[in-house]
Amino acid sequence: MDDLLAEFLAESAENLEGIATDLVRWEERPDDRALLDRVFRVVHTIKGTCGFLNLPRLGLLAHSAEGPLARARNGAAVPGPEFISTMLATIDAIRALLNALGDDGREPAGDDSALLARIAAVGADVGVVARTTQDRRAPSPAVAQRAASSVRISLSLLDQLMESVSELVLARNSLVQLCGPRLDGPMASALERLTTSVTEVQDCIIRTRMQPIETLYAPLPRMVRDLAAELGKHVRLELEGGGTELDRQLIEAIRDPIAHMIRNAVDHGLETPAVRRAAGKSEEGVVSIAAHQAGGQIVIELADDGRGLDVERLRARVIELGLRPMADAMRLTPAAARQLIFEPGLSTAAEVTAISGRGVGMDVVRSNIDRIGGSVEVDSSPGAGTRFVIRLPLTLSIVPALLVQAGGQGFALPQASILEVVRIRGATRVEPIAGRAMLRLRDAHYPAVGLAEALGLAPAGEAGFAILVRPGALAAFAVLVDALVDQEEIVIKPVAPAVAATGLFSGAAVLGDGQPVLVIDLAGLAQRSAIAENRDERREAPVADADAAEALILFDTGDGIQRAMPAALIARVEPVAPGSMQFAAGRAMLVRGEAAIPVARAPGLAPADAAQVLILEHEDRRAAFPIKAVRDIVSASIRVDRPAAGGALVGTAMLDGIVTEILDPFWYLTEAEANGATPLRGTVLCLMQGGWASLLLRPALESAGYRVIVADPAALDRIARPDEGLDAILCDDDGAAKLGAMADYKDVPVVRVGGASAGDRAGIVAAVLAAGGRR
Amino acid sequence: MAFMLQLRIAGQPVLIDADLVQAVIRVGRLHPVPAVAADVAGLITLRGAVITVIDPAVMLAGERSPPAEQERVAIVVRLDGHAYALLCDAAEEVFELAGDGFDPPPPGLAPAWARVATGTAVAEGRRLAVIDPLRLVPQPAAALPVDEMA
Repeated sequence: MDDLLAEFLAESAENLEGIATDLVRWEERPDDRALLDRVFRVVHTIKGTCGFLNLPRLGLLAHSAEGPLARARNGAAVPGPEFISTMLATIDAIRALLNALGDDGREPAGDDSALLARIAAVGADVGVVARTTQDRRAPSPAVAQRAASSVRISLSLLDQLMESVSELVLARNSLVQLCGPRLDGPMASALERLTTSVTEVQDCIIRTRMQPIETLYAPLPRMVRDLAAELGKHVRLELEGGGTELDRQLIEAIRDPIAHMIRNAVDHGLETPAVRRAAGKSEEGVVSIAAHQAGGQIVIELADDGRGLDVERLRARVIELGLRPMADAMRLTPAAARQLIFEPGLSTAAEVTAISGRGVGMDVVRSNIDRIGGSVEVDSSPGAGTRFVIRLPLTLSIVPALLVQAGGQGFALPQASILEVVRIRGATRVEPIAGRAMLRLRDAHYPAVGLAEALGLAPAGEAGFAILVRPGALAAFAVLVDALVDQEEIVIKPVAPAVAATGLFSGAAVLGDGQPVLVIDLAGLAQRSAIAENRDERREAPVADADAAEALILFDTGDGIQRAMPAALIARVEPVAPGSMQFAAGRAMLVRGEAAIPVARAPGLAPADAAQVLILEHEDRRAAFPIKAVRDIVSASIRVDRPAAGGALVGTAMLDGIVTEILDPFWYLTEAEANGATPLRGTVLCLMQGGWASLLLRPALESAGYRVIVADPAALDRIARPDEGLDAILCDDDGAAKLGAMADYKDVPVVRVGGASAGDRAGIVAAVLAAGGRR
Repeated sequence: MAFMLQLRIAGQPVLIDADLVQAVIRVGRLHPVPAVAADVAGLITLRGAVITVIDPAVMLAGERSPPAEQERVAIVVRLDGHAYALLCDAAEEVFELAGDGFDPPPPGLAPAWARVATGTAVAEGRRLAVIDPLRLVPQPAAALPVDEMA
């Protein structure tokens, strides 16, 4: 009986949540009978089960609601808002009774006559009030008919499973460490098998903890409807990306912040219909939430098309409340001033309304999101609306961490907050500016915190490495450590309150060698080191073109140049199956079953030599980008040192001390698509010293439809002339001198590049075309 | 009151309700925690969990217990979902306390002891303080978020 009751409670709670949404949707789309059918079915099932479990009060409520629903379903009349409101109230009442039932194990006594009268009244509006008598039946068989493809598992069991798997991962790590680096024979293969299956189990268990963000969306339509009615506003709620999955724990952590932000959007963001009309907008305001996964992050965008943030009022409020000195507040750029909305103790509503309340502000939203390693930013334009972008890690459970040494002790830093790790030497150095230690890195300065000193430990000599971090929404700063130890995936566990009280540690973990390690709370570290006031400059510091950290995929194309693309547009990395790379009409296609994906012309790598491809995807466009291997996935804020003028190359940036070309996936998507229409024009020999020919000219020539052979002039006599012949030779002065001595190439037009023209890529391509490099 | 564990904590013999003790363990090297209150002696790992090691001598005697040459005995307790190992000088024995063997704590105890003592009981002919081990766990005052103080 208890099991049956528990099952009934769990299932009903889930179903009721769903039908509240269905009812609100049905109000918008009265023609969609499926919605009402579902509502009816759920109420009917509850009623039936109540009879079976002897729950008369619940049963009567469900029974009374069933009649009007049945008549509405039969299309007797189109019910008005009062009908929907009454049904929602009934659902609430049923839910309250179910909760009480869950707590006490029995149905509470009480009087529902007011609600029953209301139900009867709306029932009368919908049609003839006649008690249906078909209801003394056995319980609905719906419970038993549930599809067997999924089972209900208690959350605590799932959590326990996760914990055990985490321990398993740690035990595996210990084993690997105990066995040492030079292991071979049967032990090695057994260990490898263990590693493989542990990884698989870990993946599976992480997936079981994932929930679609829909569960977060479910109560929103109802909430927005109630709010809109109360405020006399017309609101359309758009929900997108409900299938995006994230860790259950994260969903719980953002549930309240999201609801709060939606309430804010409806209450403060959207104008009244009259104001909207006067502003030339549609009376109906739109509030939208969209979620998607980008690289290793979940991005949730929350937007309204309301009045937008009033930056000047924000400033004035902050000054008025004494939250910031006036000079400070006035100095902020509009973009930075908008972030003041996250300032503690600030409320922008002129009048405090019952709905958004007072006190609980965006500061709480931000600290909640910060706490789970996420960030939130706001963007807004006056009159056009406000948009919040929340970024969250995929999972909380197992995180990659960098292990460092400071003051003779090991500590872990969560990788998610790390922008860059640099060795302190040469031009990269720590220098005091106005009494504050600053890390000088590529002409920018970042406040620097010696980890050992901040923890009250004796520093072990000069700091060897600086770790550039940006925790949550704070400005970037550098953590100075003695040495880097390792990278390890760790399971972060909360620390005892006495340890947490230091404000310096966000958790602890057990390392592969069984030793504990403390995880540094970077936001706390910034606060303790009094560099947190840099916060107002976040997003502006340290240079104007610094962008938010972005996941980048680093890869090799075989020519020794490290290249990277933003992970957001890379759907996946695939090995190239033998025979799948096919060539037709001078272009490569990646064939997979029936489908063929156009292959982009990757710099420095012919499609035939590709070992893997990056599948680029954007909307309905797809392209395969050939590579040799993926080197790494990093989260970095790209600061493009040398922005390129258009084309495939966004520019170059320093990543881990290596010059990296940042490529534009959009360009390759377009290029791969366009190539379908551009046949191969011919072959060009680039006879030049140094790497810039391949770096700069190659993509430009390739996109114009040329196959490009790059060669050093000194090696000219060693390259075989391609079978298809040459259509042009591009060369510098050295190359021309060398070429003059060779009879083989007399028939090929030569384009001389040098001096001022060397940087003019478009001009060079035009010259090649003009030189007759065309079949 | 059923089973009592007799221990020596901060130089004093005491009794603890055995039901509150999850395990009696030996701890070796402690992983230090920087910048923390003196009560926290360090961290250890136990069966894959990180456990905070508390030195009750700081609270009860006002000083850290002398560094031990060898492994030390500790009792493991749980409070609010966190596990703590409380360092002891020695763990002696477990015995069953008769239902009427428990008396309220005497007046005039030193303040630190008065805070942790829940009563007294007679063990091996001696009257010993019964203490609540959970009260030995340091509870930092709920710190206001720094933001709120701005």
